[in-house]
Amino acid sequence: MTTLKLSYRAAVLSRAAAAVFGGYALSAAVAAGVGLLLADAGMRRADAVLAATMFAFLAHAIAALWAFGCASARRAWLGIGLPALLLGAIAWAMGGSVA
Amino acid sequence: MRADGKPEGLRQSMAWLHTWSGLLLGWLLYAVFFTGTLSYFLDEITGWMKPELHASVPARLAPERAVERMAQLAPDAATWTLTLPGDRMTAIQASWRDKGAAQGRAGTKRAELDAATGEVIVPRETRGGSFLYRFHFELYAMPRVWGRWIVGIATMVMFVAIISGVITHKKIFTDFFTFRPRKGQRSWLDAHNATAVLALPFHVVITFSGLLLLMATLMPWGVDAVYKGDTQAYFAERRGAPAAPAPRAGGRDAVATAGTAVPLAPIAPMLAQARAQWPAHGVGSIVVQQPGTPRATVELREEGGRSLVNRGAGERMLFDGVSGERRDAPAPAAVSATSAVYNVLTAPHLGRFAGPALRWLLFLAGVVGTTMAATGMVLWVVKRLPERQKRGHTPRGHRLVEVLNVASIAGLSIATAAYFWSNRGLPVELAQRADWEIRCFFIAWALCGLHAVLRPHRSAWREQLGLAALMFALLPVLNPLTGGAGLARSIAQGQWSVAGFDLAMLVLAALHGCAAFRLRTPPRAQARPSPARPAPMGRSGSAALAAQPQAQEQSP
Amino acid sequence: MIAAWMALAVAYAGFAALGLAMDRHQPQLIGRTLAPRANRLCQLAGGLLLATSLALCMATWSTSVAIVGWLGLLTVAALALGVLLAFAPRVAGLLALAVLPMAAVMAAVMGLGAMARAMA
Repeated sequence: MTTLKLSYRAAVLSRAAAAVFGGYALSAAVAAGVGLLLADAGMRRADAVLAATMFAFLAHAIAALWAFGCASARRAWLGIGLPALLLGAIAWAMGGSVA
Repeated sequence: MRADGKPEGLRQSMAWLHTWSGLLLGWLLYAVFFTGTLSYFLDEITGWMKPELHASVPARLAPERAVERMAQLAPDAATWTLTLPGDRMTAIQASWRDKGAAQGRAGTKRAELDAATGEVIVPRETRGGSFLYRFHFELYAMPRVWGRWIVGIATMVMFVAIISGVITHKKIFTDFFTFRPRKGQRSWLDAHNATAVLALPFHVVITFSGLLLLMATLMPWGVDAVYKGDTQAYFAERRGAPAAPAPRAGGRDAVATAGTAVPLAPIAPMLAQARAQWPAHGVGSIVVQQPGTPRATVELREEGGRSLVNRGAGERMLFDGVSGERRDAPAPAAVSATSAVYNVLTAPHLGRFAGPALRWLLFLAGVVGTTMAATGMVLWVVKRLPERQKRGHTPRGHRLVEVLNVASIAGLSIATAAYFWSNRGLPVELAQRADWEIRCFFIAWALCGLHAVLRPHRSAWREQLGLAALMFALLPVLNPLTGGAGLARSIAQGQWSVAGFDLAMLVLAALHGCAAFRLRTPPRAQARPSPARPAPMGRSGSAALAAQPQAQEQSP
Repeated sequence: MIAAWMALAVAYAGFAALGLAMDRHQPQLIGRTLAPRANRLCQLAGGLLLATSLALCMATWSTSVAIVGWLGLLTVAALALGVLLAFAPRVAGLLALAVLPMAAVMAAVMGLGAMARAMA
């Protein structure tokens, strides 16, 4: 096998990290943030949590697809990290403890 | 992802993602799919692995005898549960909880009763189908949480592989019915596409619901945030508002049983009423609360479920335990829209609602999915054969994939067959025989791994598939020789759970045998002359292990 | 239960019709190619047959179970057609032609039976 450039390997690793770890952080933020938002909007607490968790898994999958489908590793991190931070901030502000 | 860093289209990047995500976890996912598909018949497998129970014939069910036996076995129990035999089990599964017993499984005692006489049958110690079922989502020999995390991660990777596969499959409609046999790589790709696309709804639902079923482990952050970590409250609210304290709260009610054991009303008229109301499925189980007391109740539950929206629960009928009068059963709790979505998605995964026809459909879809995983991994190897020809040698990575493919696909079949063989082969009185059966499974699997390393690729496939075929084919023969009900007897007596297992083993033997047979002739373009050698294994099902001369042998 | 078997047969016929709408499969099924307008007709027929199959499933099971059962039957029917097209293409077409009259006869019998019960 022809030796692959270091920049290629670094890009693969970066996107993979964005997909796996960034994606999980995003999904955790979705579960907490969307859960709190739905409960606040009047949904029964158990339903809010269940719905938010279902969305969280979808979010992780979409994040993984984005991480490898977008144009660069940097875009991967931005596209996953920014929504994660936003939702995480919302969850924190609404008093939920995202331990 | 392109090695030269140039931009590529979505289909190309998804193809790359699909290949790598599928390959890296494909071996584990194959095992999860394989054991999961078998788990649809968990009860039947456990039943076959307890041949002592084959003496019980479901058609001769006499429930009154079973109730009398319960009065002897558990006179002071707070609850009796009798799961009736039928399509899935040959004997009555009895369980009871004594007053003041611990919550959950710790406080439950069990026994198996003969359908006709109610006698207690003591079967051999075995984990049965439960080993395969637990392996499916918790693996083995590690803390449960680790197993669930590993399987959970694999499930998310599978989900990504499915979506990326659909995105990258350009001709998904044109190629819908396309299968071109005997064309090498093209055929493997067609097989992978067909098994993936034709059961795509199943694959998507099974994979996503697999994540949902593990969500307490994988994604607790919603509960954490909204309930401030009080998971008990979450589960209680999911189940619906708790009803008024029922008289079954263990140990708290001062029931005056001093010498005044009140006999239970005859059960036959109750069953007759229930069967009239549920002609399709019949009665699945009988639950008696406070037996032997004036406040006894008898609840009959329908076998299987009518709708997926309410977790696949069937109907229930409540009777007064002393007078035998029909009572109104409490109305089931309303199901919220979100819960309904969850229930509908997870029901096909658990399959608890399914009658025989639907169960076989789910099983078939599982087989299709398992084949999808296997063809994908073989395709990876086949696709790179021309590249290997050009280089003149096999790169270590390719060889690793080859070995893991044989060991995790054919090897798993052998390991499963070995598990069933050990169930009949190990002595009944052996201490911890359940653990030893499981050890046989893993030892066989490990030996297959070793064999895959030592033998050339094609030979390894042929030999392992051939051995699997032989082992599966002989199980229905082994069955009556080691105390079980053979096919002739089980079919004649309508014990379809036992007969179904034997028949399924024959089908598996045929599938493995066909595959091994197809590998007898060397591939066309690659034949290299080498001294004639007798093949190590004859065709599946043939009793004579006559050596057949092989003209040429391919050793990549 | 009979309705479920009919649903399978009708689903097979529906997929055969959809296959017939594709240029690739026309030579396999009927030995020649069809005009593009015929393709559209085949697609329509195929869709109607698949919908009929779903209706038959709804007659057997509750809605949520029916959808699961229908999807399972679709898998069986599509796999059967795919295998037949690969190994015995003429049989594939003949089978589709055979199941439709059979399904029609069974539907008529069931309909008569239902009418008789209603009148009794």
